[in-house]
Formats: sequence, C-alpha cells, structure tokens
Amino acid sequence: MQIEFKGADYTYQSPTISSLALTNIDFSVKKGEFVAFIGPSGSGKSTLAMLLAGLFLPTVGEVLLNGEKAKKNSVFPGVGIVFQYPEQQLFGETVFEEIAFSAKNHGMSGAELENTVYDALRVVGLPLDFATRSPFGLSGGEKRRVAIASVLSGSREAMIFDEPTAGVDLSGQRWLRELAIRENSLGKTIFWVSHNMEEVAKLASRVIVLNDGQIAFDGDPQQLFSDGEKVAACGLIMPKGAEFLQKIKAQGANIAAAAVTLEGAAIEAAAWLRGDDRA
Amino acid sequence: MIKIENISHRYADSDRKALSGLSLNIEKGRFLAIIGPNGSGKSTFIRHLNGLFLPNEGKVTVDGLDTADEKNLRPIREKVAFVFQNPDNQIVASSVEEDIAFGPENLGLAPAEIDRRVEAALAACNLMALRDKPPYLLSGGEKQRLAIAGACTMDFDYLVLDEPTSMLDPLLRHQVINLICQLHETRGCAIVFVTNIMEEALLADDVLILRDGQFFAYGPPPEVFADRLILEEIGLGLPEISYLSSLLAEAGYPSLRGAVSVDELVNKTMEVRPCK
Amino acid sequence: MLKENFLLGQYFPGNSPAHRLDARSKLIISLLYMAALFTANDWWGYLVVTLIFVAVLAFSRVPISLLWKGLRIIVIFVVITVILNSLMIPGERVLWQWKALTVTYEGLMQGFKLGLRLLLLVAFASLLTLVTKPLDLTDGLERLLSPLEKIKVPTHEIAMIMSIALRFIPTILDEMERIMLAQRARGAVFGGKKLKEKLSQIVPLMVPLFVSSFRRADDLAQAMEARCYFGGAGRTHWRRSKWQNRDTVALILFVVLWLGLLAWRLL
Repeated sequence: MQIEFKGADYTYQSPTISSLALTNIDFSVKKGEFVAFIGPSGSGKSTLAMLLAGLFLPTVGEVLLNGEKAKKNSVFPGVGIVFQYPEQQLFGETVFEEIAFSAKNHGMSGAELENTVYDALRVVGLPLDFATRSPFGLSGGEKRRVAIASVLSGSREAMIFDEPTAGVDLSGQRWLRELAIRENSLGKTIFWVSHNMEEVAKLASRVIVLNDGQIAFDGDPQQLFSDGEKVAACGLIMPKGAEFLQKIKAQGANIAAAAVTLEGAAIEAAAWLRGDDRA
Repeated sequence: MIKIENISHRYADSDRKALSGLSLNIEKGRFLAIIGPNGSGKSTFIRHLNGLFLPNEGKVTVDGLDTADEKNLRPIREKVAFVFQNPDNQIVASSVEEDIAFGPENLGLAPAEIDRRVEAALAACNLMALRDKPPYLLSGGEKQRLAIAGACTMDFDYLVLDEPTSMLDPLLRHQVINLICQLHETRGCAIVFVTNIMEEALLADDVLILRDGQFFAYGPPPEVFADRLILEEIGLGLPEISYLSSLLAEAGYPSLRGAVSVDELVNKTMEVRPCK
Repeated sequence: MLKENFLLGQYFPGNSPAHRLDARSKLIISLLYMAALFTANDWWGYLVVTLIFVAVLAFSRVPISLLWKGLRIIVIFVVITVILNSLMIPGERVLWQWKALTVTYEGLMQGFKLGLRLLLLVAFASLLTLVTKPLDLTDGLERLLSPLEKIKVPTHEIAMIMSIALRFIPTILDEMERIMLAQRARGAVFGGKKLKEKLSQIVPLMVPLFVSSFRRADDLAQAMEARCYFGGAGRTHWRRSKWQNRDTVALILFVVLWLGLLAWRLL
C-alpha cells in the first residue's frame, strides 16, 4: 500500500474568505512506515490529516492511495483516523454496534464482521463481554478505547492519529503510543500528527515538518532535532533533552549531543560524567 | 484566606468518596497548582472553593464566610472567580463585551459602573480589538481570555482555573498562561490552577498532589518533582527537565536532582564535571 | 460550511435605518408583517407584501447574496409546498393528469400563494435577526412581555433562554460539522436520497450532538452560578436601547399598511 501526494494544495473556501492552507505538498509513504507530522500552529497539519484520510480532496494536485484518488464523499478504504476527544463521536446502543459501524460501512457482514469487532476489542484491551454494554455507561478511559476500537475496525491499511493525546493523562498517553507502535509492528502504516517533540522523537522513524503550509523537512528525527538551526528554521522548539546536551557541549564538553529523547540525553550525559568521552 | 477544613465529598447516588479528609489553607497572593491522575478529585475539590459544591463533611470558608450559608454565596463568588475547562461552555452572551458585562449585571450594578468595569477588563486582558466579536469567531485562547476578563470585572482576590489550557491548541497555550501570570503580578491575587500539563505546574509557588480524593503531596515544584518514581507510581508524569534531572540522579549523580530548568540542570552538571 | 446556509442567530453588523430601530419596534413590525402575509388574499395583496419586503431589505442594506444563501434550504420546502398543493387541491381546470395524480390550476395557484407566504415569512424573520443584535432582540422581547409578569409568566427566563439559544446556534453548527467529519471518517455517508436512508444517517449525528448539548447545559449552568447569576431578580442591564421617534413612525407605517390590506380584503 502506498500513499502519494503529488503537488497537492488545499485552499479553504468560504464566500467571504479563501485561505491557502497547504502548498505544493509532495511526498510518498510506503506500507509499514511510522511517519510523524509536526509543525507550529496554523502550519496545516490537521488539513494534511484530512487529505491523508481522503476526507478532503486537494484543490490542486493529487493525493493517491495505491494509485487511486479518493472518491468524493467517501474516505480512502482501509484508512482510519482518530481525532481529538474521539469519545465525542459515540452513538451506538451497544459497544458492538459502535465498533461495527465502521466495518459495516465498508461492506463487512456476518462472521467476518463479528471477528473484526472482537479483534478490535482485544487490541484495545477491553473484555469481550463489553460488546453488549452501552457505550454511555462506561468510564472516560473506556469510552476512549471503544471509540478507538471503532476506528480500528475500519483501518486495515493505515491509521492517522490527529493530536490524539489532547486532554489525556500520562497513562492514557502511554497506552495510545503503545497501541500505535503495536499496530505498526503488525504492518499498519501509522501517521501521527503532534506538536510534542519528545513524543515524536520517541515514536517516529520519519518526521515531516510543516511550516506555513509547506514541507520544511522530511527525514530522520535524529537529524532534525540535533540541529538547532534547522529546528529554529522550521518554526519549532528543541526537545529539552537535545537542548540540554547542546548547552553542555557549548560549555566545552566533548559529547556528540546526538540524543533527542530525554532518556537518550540522560544516557549520554551520564556517560560523559563518568568520563567516557567521545573518542 | 480560603480555609478548607477536613472536607469529604461523596459522589451522588454512591457511597464512594470523591474527596476525603482534605485540609488546606490558601493564602492571598499565593500561586497554587493542583495536579493528580484522572479521577483524583481535582475538579470536585476546586468547586468547593466558591460554593458550587458543598462538602458532606467539614467546612470551607472564604475570608471567614462559610460556603454552606446560602446568603454568603454572592460575596464569595465575587471574591473567588472561576474559569472552566471548556472555553465555549462558559460564554453566555453573543459578543465579547456583552459577556464581560454579565457578571456586573448579575450584581445589579448601575450601567455607568458596568461601563467602567467592562472597559478595565477589556484593557487588562488585551481584548479591546475584539470587543464586538461573537464567540463563534474567537479562537480557544481568546475565549479563555474572555472568561478571565469576565472574572476581572468582579474584583476578585482568588482566581480558580480548572485546566484552562487543556482544550487549547498546545502551541498557543502560553497566551492564556501569560495573562494569568500577569494578573497574579499586577493584582496580587491568589491563583489556584488545576492542570494536567506538568510544565505549567512549574509556575506555581506550591504544588498540591491529589490521589483518589486524598492528599498525596504538597510543596514547592522542585521538591514535589524531585523523584520521578514516586510520581510515576500514581500515574503522574513530570515536567521534562525534572524527569531528566531525576534520571541523572538515579544514574548516580544525586546533586543533579530537583532542577526545573535547562540552565539550572546545565549548571549543576558542570559543577560535577567542570570544563576548563 | 454549514453556517452560511443557516442564518438564524447570526447578526450582520451595520448602521442602516433598519439596524438603528429599537428591537421592540422591529419585533412588533415583524408580527404586523406576518399578520399582513396572512391577510393578503389575492395577487394585489401579495404584490404589496412582496414590495414591503423589498423595501425593508433595502432599508437594512443586507446583501441579497447573503440572504439568498441562507434561504436556499427554504426554497426546497417552498417547492414541495407548491407541488403538494397542486396535487391535493381539487379544482375544475385540470392542467395535467397521470394515473391518479391530478394537477389543477386552482391547486397550482394555491400552492404558489402558500409557497410565497412561507418564503416571505422565513425571509423576514431572517432579516430581523440579521439587523438586530441577539441581545437586543431578547431584551426587546423581555420588555414587551414584561406586563405578563403580573400573571406569573417568567419573562426574564424566557428571554435568557432565547438569548443563550441564539448565542449557541453557530457553535452547535460547528460541532455538527465536526461530528459529521468524524462519522464520515468511519465510512458514514450523509446525503442519501431515500427517506429511510436519511433517517438512519441522523442517529450517528444527533446522538453525539444531544449528549454534548446536555453536557454543555450543565457546564454553562455552573459557569453562570459562578458569576453570581441567581435569576432575574436584582439584575440590571448594561445597555438598553431607547424608543425613538423613528420607531413610532415605522410602527405607524406598518399598522397603516396592515389595516390597508385588511380593508382591501374585506371590501
């Protein structure tokens, strides 16, 4: 499976104003990649997420899934998107109905449908007997899991997470990240839209930076975050771990300052403090 | 001072306690951050500070006024202003200036006085340019500033905020935070601030940690965030530098513990191994 | 964007003669206009009410394109009204027949008349909200209704409810768009042709909207209490418009017009 953006633009149109959100977006993603999209506010990240899902069609250029454009009024088949506060989209009488919604809309039925729903429940770590319960009687965290399961059931190929950790506490954030990593390890392509440098540094093997509606960087997060100038040019702030290492280096310490996560920075700094200088 | 004396609060239709045995004094002019895992009772707790909730046991007094006494509620709510988490669900009127006037109208003030207070609030919160705008044209940050402006008309001594930035665009949160800090400095009011964003807790004089409706820890940020293992056990994260600082302490460098800023941690590190 | 197609509750800022009238006179004038719409009974009458509408539109300086966009949905209802009436009303001059369906001249005319009334009704109401700030509108209503307080009608609460409803219409429309997007992402399709399809599409949209609206109401009540709201007693109003000569003039004008139409109909 492959998603390609070819010279794509997106302009928001309304009778009073027209604003260009994305310009000349060009990249392609293969099956199994874990790509993070970061950028300052207004950079167009969320618009990009809509185009990835096939919910929006580009005003100029093309967005293709396996060589085909998205059909008007329907999303790319097999691509699911998790929005912020996903529990706000719940409506079903039972958890089963809720989770089956996506799969049903994609044409599934019978035994295949049942298996998909129960699989999704398993992936989000909810007991199977939840299927007969009402989604509205669940706790906040359980509701969120049901909402995510309901997206899972329709996303065999790829999943997009649009700033999913908004309003979520630490354990919830960890759970989401682990879910994304697990799905990725099973071959699903993951797109993770975030503002959180630390999170992105931990999760992604490839990061695309959007600034002012255009792609400012496309590559290895390590390369990006260890370069202070590049980070500033992209309109971003350095992850704290990398900032710390670079300030120590600036004081004369003989370190590579290569790590970008907090854990990595701790390991590098501790090594230096022990006296294991970079050779 | 707001005195919370040994309060408990039970959830409606249940024996489960949302809060048990909490006592605290909040002095004028202090900046208090309240953190805790989801379900720890933070939101329930702060709603006791202006009498929105009443304790099942114990008592809450604001400058000597008991929240349980209905006739005290009006003066209490003038002194204790409240800003909620959802920016939209606290705006009543169809334009910025009309919404700011809502509070003074409720107090039965004369139009000339309301005029004065609205102008002052618009200026204090930098909303002059937006005064005629309807709420649906405001950004999340602007809506929260509007909510704070509404509070400003009430001559408050205590500003209580329930996760005011959690529903805002992460990179624009600072606009609201800056306003809060500014008010704290210029008006000398107390700030009580519930947050899930650990970096924000670093701004406070003191941090209160709740867990399962009970007191877990209390102290200035460097103390409270010194040991990541203690906080992770109850499901809380740390501000990023505190986390790094704690990791380095665990790696064998205890003097590095408790830093709250990059520069502070850099200085402490250079003390351990100076460079010529 | 949904908001463009749904004008109720949206104020169009301006300083036209219509904007400058007191909300109370505008409310009474709207009632008089609606009375006029139902008094007019023949083509001359309909011409007059249409001309009145055009005149009011001119006085309000609202761009026709804006109004038209907001009325497009109503046009569908108008067309349905025309068609149904054409088919249902019995008459003598048959224009077209197919099996059991008959379109008569009388039916068609009746349909047009009703359709025109409907269109003008909604258009005038939209115009009213476009030239009157929501607060002024509900305040005006409260003042007009205030004599009813003597018989224990909760006029303040009614006005407050309307005011809050108007404030939230655009917000809830935004939310509806967001929910639609989320459900479309799950493969839902909005806009099918058959009625049965449309009904099943409503559930994924309406249930989340209702749930969040209840939450909203709860939150808002707390916020209002926190700001010392204790009901209408003792509340003051920051800005209240004053009745002026132009209001009296406008009111008299409309009363005369309506009486004229009434006389025309009866004579």
